[in-house]
Amino acid sequence: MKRNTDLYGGIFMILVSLLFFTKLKNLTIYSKIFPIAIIAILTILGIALILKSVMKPSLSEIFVLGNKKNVILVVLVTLAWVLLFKKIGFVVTSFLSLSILLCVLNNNRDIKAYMKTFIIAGCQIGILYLIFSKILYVPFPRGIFF
Amino acid sequence: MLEAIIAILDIKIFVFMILGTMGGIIAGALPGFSATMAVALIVPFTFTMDPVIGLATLGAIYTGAIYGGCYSAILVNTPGTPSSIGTTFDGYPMTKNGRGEEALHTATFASAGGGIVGVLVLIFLSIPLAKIALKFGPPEYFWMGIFGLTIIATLSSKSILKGVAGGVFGLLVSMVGVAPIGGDVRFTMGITQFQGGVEILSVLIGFFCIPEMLRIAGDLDQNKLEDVKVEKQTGVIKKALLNTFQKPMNFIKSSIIGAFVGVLPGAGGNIANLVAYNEAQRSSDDPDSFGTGNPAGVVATESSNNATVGASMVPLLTLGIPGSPTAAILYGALMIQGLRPGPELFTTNSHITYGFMFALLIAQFLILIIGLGVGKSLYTAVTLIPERVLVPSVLLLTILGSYAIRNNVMDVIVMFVSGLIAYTLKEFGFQAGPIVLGLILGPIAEKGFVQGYLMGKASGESLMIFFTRPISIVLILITIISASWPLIRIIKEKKRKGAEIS
Repeated sequence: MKRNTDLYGGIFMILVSLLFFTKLKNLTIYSKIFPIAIIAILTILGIALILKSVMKPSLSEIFVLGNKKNVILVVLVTLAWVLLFKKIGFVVTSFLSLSILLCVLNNNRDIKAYMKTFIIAGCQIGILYLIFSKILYVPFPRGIFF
Repeated sequence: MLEAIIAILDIKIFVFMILGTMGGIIAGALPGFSATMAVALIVPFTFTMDPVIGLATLGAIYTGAIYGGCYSAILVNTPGTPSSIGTTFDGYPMTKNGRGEEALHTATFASAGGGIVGVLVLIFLSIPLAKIALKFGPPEYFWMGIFGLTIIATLSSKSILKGVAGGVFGLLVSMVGVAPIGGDVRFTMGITQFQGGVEILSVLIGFFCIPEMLRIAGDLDQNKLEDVKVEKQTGVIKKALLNTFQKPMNFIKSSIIGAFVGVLPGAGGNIANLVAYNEAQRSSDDPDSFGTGNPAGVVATESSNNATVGASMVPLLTLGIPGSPTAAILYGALMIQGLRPGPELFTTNSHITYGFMFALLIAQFLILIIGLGVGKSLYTAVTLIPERVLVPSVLLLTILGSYAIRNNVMDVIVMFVSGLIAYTLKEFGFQAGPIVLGLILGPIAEKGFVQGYLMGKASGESLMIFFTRPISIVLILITIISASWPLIRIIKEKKRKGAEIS
């Protein structure tokens, strides 16, 4: 089904303007003079988009994907990865997340495919861990594991 | 300048640049994997490096990626990057006619040649421009910021209204953190990590990488590349050389078009290759042969798109205004190296700036050597990368990269959330380019405005200070022309269509 993207865009911009507007109080004049102008312009543009959505709407299908399940799973796994890697540890979280993603996106579900997945995930993390920790000297969170 | 040449003649730099060029070619040949994405993913790997090495590597990746787009364009009729769209017109017919190898080598010579022209333009144009920019005060920087924002209209090809709204949204997000003049902490939404502002590189990585990875995950195998067996030809390098340089006007004209388009903020290889192709066909003695496998078409598109690489660095290095999404990433790369993009690069850090320019020049020779030597093998390697492995691998790099910037988990969260916002906004018709430009130009415009206002107040001129200084007046005129250009284009288009109907 085609959706009115101007309307969604307009509402998004007005909501963002409102959110920033509520945070203006207690700011000194030099800190808020420019944001006030920008908030006003964004509100006007949001209203203009809503008006356009009524007068000359731009209709298009949104979130059209061959496999929505894949996208949702990728988002959820990555979200968990991002939120947990400090607590659990970079290596463990990344190995698990990468393996899950590789399995999710792979149609083959036999033992050989799983083994391949673990090897790919292990090699990638091992190489990147070495590059970052030994060459670039970026310490990764170890968390409760590693 | 001599110091820069010495700095660049280092074996370590060459090794990184060779790897960067090869990585860039692979990224460029992968449809859906843009030059911007390639540079964004590698920036975090470079920030602990010496600035010259880091920037040289990024320059090599950028050059390699723009060149790499020609492989899939010529061999499978799928442009690897938008800069190679025009290359499919004659490159693919050449492959079908059994002249694929000749087309690839012709593209290599044209890309390297065009790239050299672009870098020469960068070197000779940036020095005088930087001298002018050194005379800028706060009012001029305010107008520079506003001029930069007018680029949004050019970047918003589908909807100017959405482009401008996206740019203003970016401006608002750029105000999170400490105010540049008032000093208040603002818009942090209660998150203490935002007091220093939103980490721009994390946002850039999220904006340019996450939406594309989600799209690929949703349509796996949509962009699956197949390896193509290219027929061996005798004397193919000589043929390719003759195709490119025997009638040099096409090459020269296309390179100049590319360099000119590249200097213009907002326009890049995606526009240059089509403009150059049209011009080559228009001025050809045999225009009907275009589209059927005329090597002149390949020369035009490939020399022009690579000429934009060096030229697109002119506004970034001299004025601190990123004129394209890739330049925006390089802006972030300069910032994490502690370098402020703008005329200061030519005074306080001139050896790094000139070193970067010479590195871009060397990168053109590298694409020539690598392209002629192992280019086709790199393409074969690209066809072996399954997208089901690519998506998780890129996600791993985005997480690693955004964490490595400041060793801060919040930057990783910002990266991912920015990516989800960018994906949603893209579905609503908002492009990443304008939002990112707003994000970068916001602090420049705000600081210029408030400082200029204070200057005006002190001298009794008040806001008139923004309209009375000579350089400001020139910038206002350029801004007006730039802002009205898309409207002029629409009116011209309507008139042309009207004339065609009548």
